Amino acid sequence: MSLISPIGNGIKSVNRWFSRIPYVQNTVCKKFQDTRANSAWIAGLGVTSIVLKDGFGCYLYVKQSLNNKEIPEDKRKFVAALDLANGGLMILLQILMTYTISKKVFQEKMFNKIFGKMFNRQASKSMQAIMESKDHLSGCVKGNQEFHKAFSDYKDSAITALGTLTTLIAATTVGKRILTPFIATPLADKTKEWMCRNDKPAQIHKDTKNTYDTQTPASEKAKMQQNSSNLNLVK
Amino acid sequence: MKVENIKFGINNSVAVQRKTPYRQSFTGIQDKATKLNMKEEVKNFMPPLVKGMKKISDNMGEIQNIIINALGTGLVAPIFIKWNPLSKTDADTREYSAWRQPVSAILAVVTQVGVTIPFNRMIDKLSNNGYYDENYNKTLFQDKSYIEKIIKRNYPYASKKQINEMVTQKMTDQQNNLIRMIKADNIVMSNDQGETFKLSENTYRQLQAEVLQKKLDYANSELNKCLNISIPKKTQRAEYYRTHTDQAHEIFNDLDQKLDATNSPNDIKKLVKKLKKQHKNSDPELIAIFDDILARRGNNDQDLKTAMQAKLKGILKDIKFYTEDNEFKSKEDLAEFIKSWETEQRINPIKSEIKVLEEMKSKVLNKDTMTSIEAYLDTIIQNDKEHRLAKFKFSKEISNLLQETVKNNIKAHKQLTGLRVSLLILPVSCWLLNWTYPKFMDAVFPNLSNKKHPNEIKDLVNKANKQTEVKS
Repeated sequence: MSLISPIGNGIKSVNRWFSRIPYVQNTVCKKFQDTRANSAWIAGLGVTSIVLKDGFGCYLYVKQSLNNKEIPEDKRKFVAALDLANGGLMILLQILMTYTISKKVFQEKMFNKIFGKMFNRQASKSMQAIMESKDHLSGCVKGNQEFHKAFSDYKDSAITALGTLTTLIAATTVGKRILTPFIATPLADKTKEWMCRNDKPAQIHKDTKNTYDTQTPASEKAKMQQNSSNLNLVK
Repeated sequence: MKVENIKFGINNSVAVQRKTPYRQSFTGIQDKATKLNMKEEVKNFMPPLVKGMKKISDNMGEIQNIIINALGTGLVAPIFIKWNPLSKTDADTREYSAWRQPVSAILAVVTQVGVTIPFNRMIDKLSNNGYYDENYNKTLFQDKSYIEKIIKRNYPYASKKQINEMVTQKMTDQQNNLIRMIKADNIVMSNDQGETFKLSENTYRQLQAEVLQKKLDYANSELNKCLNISIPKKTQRAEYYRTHTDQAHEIFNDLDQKLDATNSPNDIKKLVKKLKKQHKNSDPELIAIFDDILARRGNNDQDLKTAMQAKLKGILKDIKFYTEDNEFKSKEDLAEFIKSWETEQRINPIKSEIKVLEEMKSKVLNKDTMTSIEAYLDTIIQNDKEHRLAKFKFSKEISNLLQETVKNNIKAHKQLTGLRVSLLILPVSCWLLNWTYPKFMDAVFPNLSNKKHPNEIKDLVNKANKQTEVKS
């Protein structure tokens, strides 16, 4: 208990310190005040969070692969190169997808296609007529600014949610999980070449040298060796 | 004992230095419309898809980001790893690698969401008890759940009904206190030690100005819409009714009667589509009216019928107004009438609203007291009881904006905190993945796992030896 309290207080203090950072107060908080206008920025913040984690994860995986004694030494760099190529591509493609999908023109077209009919003038008039037909709302909806405010709040929410969802899905699913695997494998070879540019030729120990012959079975090879040694003996 | 246990971390008595009564509506009676929670009412009539989007938008944050990312990792990545046509690796290895993704996704959700949720709860608690500065301080409008928790702690033997009543009362009191503080230009918050501090003058004035600016922007957009869209559109439509009276009468009377007689409004929509094709070479305004009817919507047949009926009744009313009730000799005559009618009914009231709002804004910039600003507004309303600002409650709007601003600041703070803590927990996620993944594969997919390889190799070697023996 005596240890938990200082840790808890420390976490709280650090958190409060972060909340006071001028950039957080003057930029991040300001952007969250108008989510409709800043939906691309907010979606970008979400992708930034994922990209940062991917970057850090990539660093950890590359480090682990290079030091993993369970992987044969001559293969370690390739495995690490694959991790690095994968990580780099993930980050690059996610940024690229975010930049493309969150474009205002693209978002507007998509919104109009999906939600346009739900928020146009006729949709608003339809809702007013339907609400006016209810006893408890009759005479309270038409010409009421509160109605228009609430209606436009829903529109803003739909714009924000669509912007964030499409950007995140495009970045984390299309960019990271569909496009990356297609490019990562060929890129890994290039990355390995780059990582090995200053290396001396690998010294392969005679005991670990791969002597397996895919053409001739080992038993036949042994038999052939025995025959040739018998022939030598005969000679 | 914690301060919050006794007095919710608030010292309301200090804040209210000058109590002024609420500004009553001029008749002294609150009408039906002001009692309604329009947001809730509108929600009941929104399509389910929009309601879903609203929910997503309200809950946006780090947890949602982690879940979307995990869904991509767990559900999409394995498909593209296993069936990647460019990969030269054998099928078993690809399947083995593909299974790493769902395991990684589940671990990411468990560790990252698992650490983000307690932090979000901590932020909520700290903002409610006043630990944060004014930008994130909720002591004047605490969350329902927070108030409920404290009341339950203070009145352990109270029934659920009593607790609910006390919670509602506490929330109403807090709202009323906040409005009284705003009317007195003295918003006083509390910190977690129960000490009070005043909301900075700068923030307060910014809130006042922002409320007025938002209202001004809305009024200006309405004025713009009225001048540039409504008047030309109304003139064009009225001109169609004037010049095609018989055609309009015939088509829309027939549609109205058919719609009244049916319970399937979609059949009428089909009929309108047919009519649109039939009249494709007629006046473009007729096509525009058909499009308006087709654009009517409702969540069910009854609602759709109501929406379409309202439109058709409106059309018939307009036809009567522009052809029977009034006589117009030319398009210019008609345009002049519509312009003067719109000016009197809409443009002048909006212009008056803009003028009053501008005046109030200049008073805010001059740092006038709230009492004098509201007194000015009261004078305007006393002289014109139908004024567009008759229902505008400045102090209530400031209170709403303050709550909204703090709520959004906390949202931003939570998102950044989520980012930080989920980044910090990442080495643990990676370590857990490396530890869990081989064990999971050995247990669930031994055929793919290395565990079985020695046996398989032994079988293969035996098989190969047998074949060699047969050959020899």
